[in-house]
Amino acid sequence: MAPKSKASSKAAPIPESKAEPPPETVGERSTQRFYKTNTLQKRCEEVGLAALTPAEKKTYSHAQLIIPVSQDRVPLSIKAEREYWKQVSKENLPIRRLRRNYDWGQDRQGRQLDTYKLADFGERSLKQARLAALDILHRRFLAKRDKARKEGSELPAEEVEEEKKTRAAMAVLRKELYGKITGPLAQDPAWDDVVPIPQAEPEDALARIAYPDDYAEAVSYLRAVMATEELSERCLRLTQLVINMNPAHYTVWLYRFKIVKALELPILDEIEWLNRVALQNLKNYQIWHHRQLLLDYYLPSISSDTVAVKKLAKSETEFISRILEEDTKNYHVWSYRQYLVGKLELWTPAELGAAQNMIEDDVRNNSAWSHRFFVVFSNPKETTPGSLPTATDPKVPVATIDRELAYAKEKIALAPQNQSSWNYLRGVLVKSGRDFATLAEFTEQFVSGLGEESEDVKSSHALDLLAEIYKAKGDKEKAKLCLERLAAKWDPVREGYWKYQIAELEK
Amino acid sequence: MAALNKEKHIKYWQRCYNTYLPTPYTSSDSTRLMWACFITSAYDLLSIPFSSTDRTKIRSWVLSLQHPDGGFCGSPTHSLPGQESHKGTANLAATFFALITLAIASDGEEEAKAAFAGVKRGKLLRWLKKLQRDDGSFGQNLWEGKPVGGRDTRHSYLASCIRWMLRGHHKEDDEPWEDDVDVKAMIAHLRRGQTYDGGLAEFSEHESHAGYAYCAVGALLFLDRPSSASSPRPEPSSLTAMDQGIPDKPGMLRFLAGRQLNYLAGEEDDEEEEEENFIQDAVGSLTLEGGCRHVGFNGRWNKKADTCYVWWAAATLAMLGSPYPVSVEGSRRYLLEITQHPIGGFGKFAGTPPDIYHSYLGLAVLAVFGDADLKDFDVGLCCSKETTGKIEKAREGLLKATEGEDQIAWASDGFWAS
Repeated sequence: MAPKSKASSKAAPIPESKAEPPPETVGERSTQRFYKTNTLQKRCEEVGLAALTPAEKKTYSHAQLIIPVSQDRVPLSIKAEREYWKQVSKENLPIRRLRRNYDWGQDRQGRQLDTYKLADFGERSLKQARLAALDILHRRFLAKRDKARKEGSELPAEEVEEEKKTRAAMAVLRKELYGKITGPLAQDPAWDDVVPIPQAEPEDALARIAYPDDYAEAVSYLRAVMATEELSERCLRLTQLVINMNPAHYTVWLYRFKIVKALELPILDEIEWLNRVALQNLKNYQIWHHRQLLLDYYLPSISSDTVAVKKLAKSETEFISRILEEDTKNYHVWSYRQYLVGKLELWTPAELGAAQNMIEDDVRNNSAWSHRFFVVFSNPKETTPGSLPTATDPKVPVATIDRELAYAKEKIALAPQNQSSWNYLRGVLVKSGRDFATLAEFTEQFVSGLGEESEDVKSSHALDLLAEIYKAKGDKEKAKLCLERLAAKWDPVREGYWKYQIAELEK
Repeated sequence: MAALNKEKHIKYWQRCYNTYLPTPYTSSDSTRLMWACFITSAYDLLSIPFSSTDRTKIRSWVLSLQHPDGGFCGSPTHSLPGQESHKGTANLAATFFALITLAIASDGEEEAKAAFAGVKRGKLLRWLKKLQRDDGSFGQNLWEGKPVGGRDTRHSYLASCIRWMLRGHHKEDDEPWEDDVDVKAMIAHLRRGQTYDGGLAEFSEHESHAGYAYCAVGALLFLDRPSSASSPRPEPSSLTAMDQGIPDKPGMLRFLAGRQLNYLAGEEDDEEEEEENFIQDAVGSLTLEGGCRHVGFNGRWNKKADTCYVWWAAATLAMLGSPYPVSVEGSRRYLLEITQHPIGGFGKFAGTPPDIYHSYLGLAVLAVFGDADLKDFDVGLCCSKETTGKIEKAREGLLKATEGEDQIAWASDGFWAS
């Protein structure tokens, strides 16, 4: 046993540590620091407690024993405490030391912070410091604004702009550091007085949608301002924000209309805005409904001004034409056009011409055919009010009927297998009250040698119509033959329907 | 012939049920109750059972969307919490889908009877009445006390179904009485919708559309439909709403027959975009071997085939009593070989990814065609017949409770408490 040296009353000297490489990560640095402040720990771990020198053993065990007191887990009397510190000081025991396995926590992606490279960690700390600094600026702004408002004034615009920049920078930092989203509205001091009503949905709600963050925020503000019935410019902008993301929202449009009315905004400006939205959302229905509301509201104010009404009719039909260029069969646009014709009494050659042009472009555009039928057979000057389209209307002038029949026939000759023109022909005939037999000659030209070797059919719709013509004439056999040939050869896709017609024939 | 890839469809619907719907659904946020109904109803059709936890969760979510003044809001976006709740907005479609979903979320006789527990029937029916306009049409929601929205047949259909589901065919001296909507005006409005080509639109002046035809015929069907399968049929001699509401029935049948088209797969692939959005074969070209292999349906004349129109047209015919058959085999092949998607569900067109709307209506029409893998289908309510049976029980249960007999028992037995 080595003789007791004087030094033995002091702690055992720290064994010479092998030169360790400098730490790369936060975790490595913590470990190194732990060992540096917990002398003997590493050696004890490497060689085991039994292999330590007695001095080391003593120091090691004393170092462990002082822990409960240093951590305030064991209270001592004043006297005992004095004795304790005396001993610690005398033996130079490591009283201030790091704990093992310090938890640095996780970042927003769930990565443990102790795996960060030191430089990255430094950068992160810098960001945190920057955020704290910005927060001070932000609070100063709030305080200044409060003070200004108490004095009945507002802060100058530059300061508000400065604050917006501060918040934008804070939002970026918060997102980077903690994954917290601060939406554009929360960043805008103009919305500070609104307490948003977010959707509080349970985790297991049905049909949850991965809403974009901006949508969730915009809707939560919209709910708040709609609840307080605020009608203001900023709310108008907010409706636009929501409409851009969810044009099918069924109350935001009504709310927007209410704001437009309350603020007495120029309706034509609103229509101009709507044009842009419509072009971006071709399939949306609410847009056209909103347009109708606007027109219903606006028209009475200009009804005595024929120039203004004409101007409106022109700009509206121009826009309709433009959007129909993009989507020639757009259902909502055509429906709106029908509304507009009724509202502005556009029973004009120009309107008929517009439909006609679209038929010329595409003879199978059924929407355009439909519109033509409407313009001709709903014109109050030439028709009986309330006459159903499926009923004869004696008020329609013969010239009109003849013109329409000729038009349909001309287009049928162009494309005999086109459903739209045949439907139109039948529709006109029903309106006229004339017998189907009057179409026999015209229709028969599309069919030859029926039931014979040389049978040729240019149009299954002609054959269909012929069956009705023969039936009306009382020639059941011929009608049946048409139907049989439709089922077997010329239109087998509707076989079931033709066979049903045959059965009806025999009733 | 391709079959329904049941396993894949099950997977598709489980994804819809268990995870977030993708961001593009944001633009249909206002119809989340419809998505919820389609998802749960697809589970029902495919016989995927719900655990009791699931059923409780579905119920409580649906009921959380109920408006304090009657009706259901389309999504949590439209329903406000706590004291602000009356500032939310209920709408017709959401209310229809809410009631069906509540029925789907019940299992067995007892639960079915209590499926509508918590539905404010009186308030809802009064709200429904307020939604009707003088011309007989219905708005989609109230705004400042007045019905707003279009006047199209969708709203008439939804109103008619809701009335059937909740009101039953009450006589005026029955309890609990609620003022009825104006049925005569309703029929008159629908009658004004038939177009010159036999089809139907919001107004007869608009272009005919198979979807509006379905809704008009459905609305009329439910005006005539007895409260339950066992209730007495009306006198056969009396004029039905269906008779009164369609001025030209042969024209309507012709319009519906016209929705079928021989689908030429090759031509759709060649297409650039939707530009040439119909596919019409040359006349007489179908008689070749294997002619009408794929039969598609469109919604309007000269438009392109689309999965959902197989449903809208075939279902409308079924409601009219299917006076003639459509080409079931060809249509099934169109759905199963052309628009059924490899990952499950159906797309709108060939090659388009599946979405809830087309996936559900694809299943629905296959069920109408009697697909062995799917439950028997109620073509009027667009859910399984089993679910309709539950709705009838639920109505019965709710009526009883409203009379006060079971009200207390329901409130206190904790049956639905989670």
